[in-house]
Amino acid sequence: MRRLEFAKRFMPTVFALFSGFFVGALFLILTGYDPIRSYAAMLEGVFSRPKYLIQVISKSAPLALTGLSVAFAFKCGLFNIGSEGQYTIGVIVATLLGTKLSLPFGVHFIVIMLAGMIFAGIWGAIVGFLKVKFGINEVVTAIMLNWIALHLHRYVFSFPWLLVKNIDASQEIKETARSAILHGFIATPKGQTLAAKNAFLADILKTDLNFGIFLAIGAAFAIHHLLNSTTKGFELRAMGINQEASRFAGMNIKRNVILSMFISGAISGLAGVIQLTGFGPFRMTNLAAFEGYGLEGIYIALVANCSPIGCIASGLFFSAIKCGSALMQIEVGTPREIIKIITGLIIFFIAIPFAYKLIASKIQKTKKDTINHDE
Amino acid sequence: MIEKEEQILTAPEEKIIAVSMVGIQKSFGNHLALKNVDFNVMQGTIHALLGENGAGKSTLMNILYGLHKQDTGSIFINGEPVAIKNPKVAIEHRIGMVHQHFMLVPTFTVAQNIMLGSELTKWLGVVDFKRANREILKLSCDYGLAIDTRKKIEDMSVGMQQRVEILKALYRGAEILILDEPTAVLTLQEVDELMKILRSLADAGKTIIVITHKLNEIKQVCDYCTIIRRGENILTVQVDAYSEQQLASMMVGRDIALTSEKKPINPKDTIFEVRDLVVDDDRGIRKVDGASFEVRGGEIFGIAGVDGNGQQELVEAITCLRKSKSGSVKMHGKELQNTTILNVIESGIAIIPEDRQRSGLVMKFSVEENMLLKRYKNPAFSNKGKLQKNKISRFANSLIEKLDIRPPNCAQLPVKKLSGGNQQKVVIAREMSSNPDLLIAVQPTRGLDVGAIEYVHKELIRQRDSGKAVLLISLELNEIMGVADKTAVIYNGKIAKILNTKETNEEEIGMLMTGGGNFACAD
Repeated sequence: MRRLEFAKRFMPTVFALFSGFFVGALFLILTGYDPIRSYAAMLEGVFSRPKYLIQVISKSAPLALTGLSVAFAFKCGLFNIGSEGQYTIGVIVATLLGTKLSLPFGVHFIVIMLAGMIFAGIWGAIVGFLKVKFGINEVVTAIMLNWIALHLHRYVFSFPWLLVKNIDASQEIKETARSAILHGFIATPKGQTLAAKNAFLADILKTDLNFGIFLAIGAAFAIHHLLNSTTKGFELRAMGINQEASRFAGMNIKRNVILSMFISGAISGLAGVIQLTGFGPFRMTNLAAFEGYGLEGIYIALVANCSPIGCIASGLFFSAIKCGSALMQIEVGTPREIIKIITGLIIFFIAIPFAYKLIASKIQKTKKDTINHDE
Repeated sequence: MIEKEEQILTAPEEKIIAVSMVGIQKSFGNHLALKNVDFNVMQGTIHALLGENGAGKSTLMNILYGLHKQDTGSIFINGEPVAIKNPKVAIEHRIGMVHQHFMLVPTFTVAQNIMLGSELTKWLGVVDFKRANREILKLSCDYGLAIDTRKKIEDMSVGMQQRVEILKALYRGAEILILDEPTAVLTLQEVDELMKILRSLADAGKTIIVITHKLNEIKQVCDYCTIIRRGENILTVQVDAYSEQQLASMMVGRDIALTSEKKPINPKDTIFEVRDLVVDDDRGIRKVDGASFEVRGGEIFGIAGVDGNGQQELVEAITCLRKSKSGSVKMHGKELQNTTILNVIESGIAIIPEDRQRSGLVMKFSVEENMLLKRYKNPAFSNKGKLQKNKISRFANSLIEKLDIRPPNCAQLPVKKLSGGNQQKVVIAREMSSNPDLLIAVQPTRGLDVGAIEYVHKELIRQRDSGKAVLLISLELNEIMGVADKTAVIYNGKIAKILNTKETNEEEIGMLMTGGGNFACAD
């Protein structure tokens, strides 16, 4: 019985994922690519080498975090489309403190992380404040703040004391500020000898393995705990479903809206911090447009059905098709843009759980009918 | 069982049995909703299906209309066995259903709504509005359902919308019309008109089944009445032969008091006081205009009035959900006006809100979580900000048991799965569990059946008898007359008069409610 309920909860998502790939295959056939070879190459790009797998896991952290940020806001009844801007604030803070602050290893990163989260949290809280103070819809202000964050990024990028001439990027953040575990190790003599001895290790040493995934998992469990086991979480969930009844029960809705936007923003900011400190080139680059992590968070949350723990799985999945598609393009020549089509299709199929229910009831019916026949 | 057969067999005229449902059984999961129910309806009669909330009457009719499928049992329409797989088949067998919540497109006109799904077309599939309009008009004249077919649904009153639903069913050729709690949303006047319409439809040979738990309406218009209790057909009777009291008792399966019994009043000191309260609505229109009253411990203070005379704003101002312009609201002598609702709750006031689904409950939350809604910070249930799940469960289960909230063991069930009466019990359980000094009950019995109403009234009286105060705000005059010790009549935002309920009568209050009588405050 338990197992059945479990299946019931996940079936629509699994159905959507499969349908996305299935219809994606039709698109591939129509455009003259072999879907089986393409998907096989994609799988290969995820599982064939430990390097790939570690890369997938590492790169899932920022995705899972922005997903978690959006999912948390959803649970509180808010649509945080401003994750992108909060993420950007995280990147800016990490760059400034990473290049200009001098602290010992570990402490440096923790300081950057906390500062990034606080500033991104405030960026989110502004949205909440404007909502409760003036009744402005959070979607409007959040989108506006996204653009402000993007232009702030460009402004910071124009500081002469931050830039490195000729390469169109900021200075590299200091070694002490990084969350990457392995970076640089392969360049050391010790790393060289290790890599020479063992090809397997050499492969792994080249990856961007960083703390990010552990922080993401930690954050997901923390949010899960907050929502389900604490009085504050009880308030936030009640507010998310029925604001009127929560107000009636004496809860302070205004404060809670600002608080939940702060938390949501801080999580997005953490994603930005991890992206900058965990992956090469450890520099702020000139942004022509949004990086997209925050916006991707929306569909990651959607696929996870807004479950905090589910965001980890969802982040891993999208990281996998992103990473896997690189090999697909190289090996089969299938343009990697196909994953955008597949992602779109998955969102489409998730939005129609109705279709799944219909099919399920049909299957059940035929089963029943056959049983009746047997009688 | 024998009695039931007798009743049907001794039906007076030699009429055709239009609907016959035999041995209907239906379960949802582990819950057996209908147990071997037989149900027969004579053609050309109005047949009431009476039962408490959750008794299974809606399920039975949903089976007849093809929305659910029975597990066992068969259905006969005009003597022919039929398998009603879906509503389309039901419509083919000339069955129509008017749901409690209307299925109309607000921006469409009456005619467009009625023909939606069975459009008349000219050549090339062009919709023939003219012919449709004509046919609908003819139909509405035939049955005395006067209506403007070109008007948009969104511009119509609820009563008129219901009329459109009835016309929609007739337009599809319905001979058997099912109405699910048709009067729940109507004003008194609209109810009267509906009754007339139903009668004229029955006289024209239509068969009408009305799902209801309102006894006076059954007495007023129905010929037969089938009583369903916990999924079983108890009895089918001729309405004339029974009193409302008897019908109510059969429905709940025990003797029931339609009027509440109370001990003599034992008033204590004034604990709650409203003085010269002035409140405006969102548009700045004055809704409460200098209202003053006080409530003592050990009494039920009723506020009667026609809807829209400031009751809503008065409650919102008292509970600090709306700012008042001037005046004062004092609990135990402490000023509450324009503070926060948390302050109001902490001063010992509990509230049963008017709209329990909107303000009283978080529908997707479990019963347990809803019971916790106001007390989650109580040290008994939280330790350093962490919820104590075991203690909460024990608390919830004790309340479920104490108030007999059904189904039993519903602590983890989403509250939206409960019937209306049981939802209200969850609200009451929560509000009373804080042992309030003043209970404000706003329309506490709206939408409830007699059994649940009796329960709510008993709770209010128990609160009063324990020396605490109750402020009851209701649009139902019967309720005020039956329960309140003192009655204030609110008219145009002013307290027209405060009366001892015992020394007044419905006529006097009715007069005051509509602006008659003199404006003087009694002590």
